[in-house]
Amino acid sequence: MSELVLRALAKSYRDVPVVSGVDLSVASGEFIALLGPSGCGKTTVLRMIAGLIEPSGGQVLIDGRDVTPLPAHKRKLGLVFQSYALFPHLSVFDNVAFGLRRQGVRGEALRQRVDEALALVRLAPLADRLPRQLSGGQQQRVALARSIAPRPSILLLDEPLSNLDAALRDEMQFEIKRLQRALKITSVFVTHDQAEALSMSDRVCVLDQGVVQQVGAPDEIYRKPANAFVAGFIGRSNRLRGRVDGRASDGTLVRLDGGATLLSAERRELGGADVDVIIRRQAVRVVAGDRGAGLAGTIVMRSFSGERIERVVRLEGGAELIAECDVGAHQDDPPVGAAVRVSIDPQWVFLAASEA
Amino acid sequence: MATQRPAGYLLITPLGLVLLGVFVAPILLMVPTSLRHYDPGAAAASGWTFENYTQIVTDPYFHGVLARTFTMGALVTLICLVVGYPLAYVLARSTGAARSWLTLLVVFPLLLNIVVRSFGWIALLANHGLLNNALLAMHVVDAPLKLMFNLTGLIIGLTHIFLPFMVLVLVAALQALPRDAEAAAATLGAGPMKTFFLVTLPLTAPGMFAGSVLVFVLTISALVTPRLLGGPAYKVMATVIYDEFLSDLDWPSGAALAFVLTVIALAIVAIASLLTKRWTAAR
Repeated sequence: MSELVLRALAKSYRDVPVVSGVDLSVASGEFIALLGPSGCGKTTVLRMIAGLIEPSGGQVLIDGRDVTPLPAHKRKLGLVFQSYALFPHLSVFDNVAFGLRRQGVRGEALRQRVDEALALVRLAPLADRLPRQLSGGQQQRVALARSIAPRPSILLLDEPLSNLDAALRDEMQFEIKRLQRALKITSVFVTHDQAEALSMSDRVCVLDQGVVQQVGAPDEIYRKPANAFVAGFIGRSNRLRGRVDGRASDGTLVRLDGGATLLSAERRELGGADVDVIIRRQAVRVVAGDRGAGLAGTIVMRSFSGERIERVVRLEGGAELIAECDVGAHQDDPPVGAAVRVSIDPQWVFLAASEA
Repeated sequence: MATQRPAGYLLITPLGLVLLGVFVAPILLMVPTSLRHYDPGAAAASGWTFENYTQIVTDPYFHGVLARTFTMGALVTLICLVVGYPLAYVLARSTGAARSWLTLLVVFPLLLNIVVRSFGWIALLANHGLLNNALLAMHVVDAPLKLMFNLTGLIIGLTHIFLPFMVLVLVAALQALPRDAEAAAATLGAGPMKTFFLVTLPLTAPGMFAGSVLVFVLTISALVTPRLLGGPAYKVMATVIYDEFLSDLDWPSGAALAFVLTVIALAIVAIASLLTKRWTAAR
């Protein structure tokens, strides 16, 4: 219910920049994910928003008010920690009541608010337990209830699901999303898991090496990566080297190192002729036989992971690509060694000026 | 697992045997001694008696000694706790070189011989010691403060000696604080004071308790420092026991006193652990 704005937020430790000039606006009620590999500075950004880390530069604004000089306990934000950080000496009830008591809520009102928060995470019957008597998932829910009970203006979540096993993680993803929708609370969710970020958030902010790479809706991030990092980080991709070989009406022709030429839907002018070619694995289609449209190649390896079939294809000229398809997709399934034709959907071929 | 357990216990037999031979056996041998009459000149008189124990309960002299010992223990423990906690807090939160230096400073006194340290305090605290001379020269006091051969002297000396134990136990407790618990308190609206009293202090309470029991038991059984700083007149349990054995040659009485001190120390440890258990279970 509050709007959050970061202006040129920066943090360095002993002149080593960890976060540099992060600008970000989060609309009221929006759910935004900070996504990036570990060490990209996303947790540092979150802790600067919370007031737990003092920024080296820039501002944090909540509803237009500069809160940068305020200590954590005066910012009225909720934070869910990766480690849950429950108070082990307090019962579930007292954990959830902690923030409310700091606001002066007492007696019947207190009981009611705590019960409300616990009901939201479906833990009402466990109010008298100690944190150590709960499972990991339950502890995470207590942490969630504790952070929302004081009705914070903004909810911050620091990799809240990374300590849970896969099944529980799916359930909690849904749970958090449901809660966020119900409370219409502005939320910032830090994660290194792209599926989590894409599926849960309204917008994703991709960070790498302390710099914002792209901010956009999950769809946009996936379909139109702004640069080579985002293109390679989101989705599963092949990354090859090549040279721009000409322009076509529907994109750019690029010649891979090793020989094959393919089309990318990319239309932007790139810095030079040498480019990184990033190809989504699921965009590579394999057809059995050595005739027909597409690039000639040979199956080098095939692996089956249950949901997907992955194949490594060596193109004529030597470049290797990984092709991926759902088990349900009725594609040809040629054996290892078979000659195939490979076609690649140009919209999933991204080009970026070569870094090296 | 179950079949390996006896083999595992076998590993402690060498130490077990040593302790049995040089620690438990001599103590047990003292039991009959403590039940003998005191017969000056003879090693041990014949016949059995409880008088060595009853005198501790009935004789006002021993009441005084006991009261002094426990007052001393309680005060030294309290001061170590109050002085040691902030030190441990700073130490636990420091990093890098600062941390190494602080740790060294805390541990350094332990590297010095206890007799040397106690004599050092005599040089400082005596009637014409460094401290009194300075105070007299600055006209802060008209007559030397009595800082030795009384409770004050013992408390100063023993606090100095046992403070490192308290600090080290507290540092361990502070480092064992769950990650982010204090940060969580801050985000929930608790200022630094509230966070300290509602989160840090309760979570380190078991450590404070353990450190206190350790310092208290060490203090009431300390000998060298009370001997040097208390002088011949200001006596506590340990010095009385020492004198009974070595000056008065009253072994039965000394043995009985030693057992009383041991039982008290054990009782404190037992009650302490019982309380800790009940306390943590109740929470």
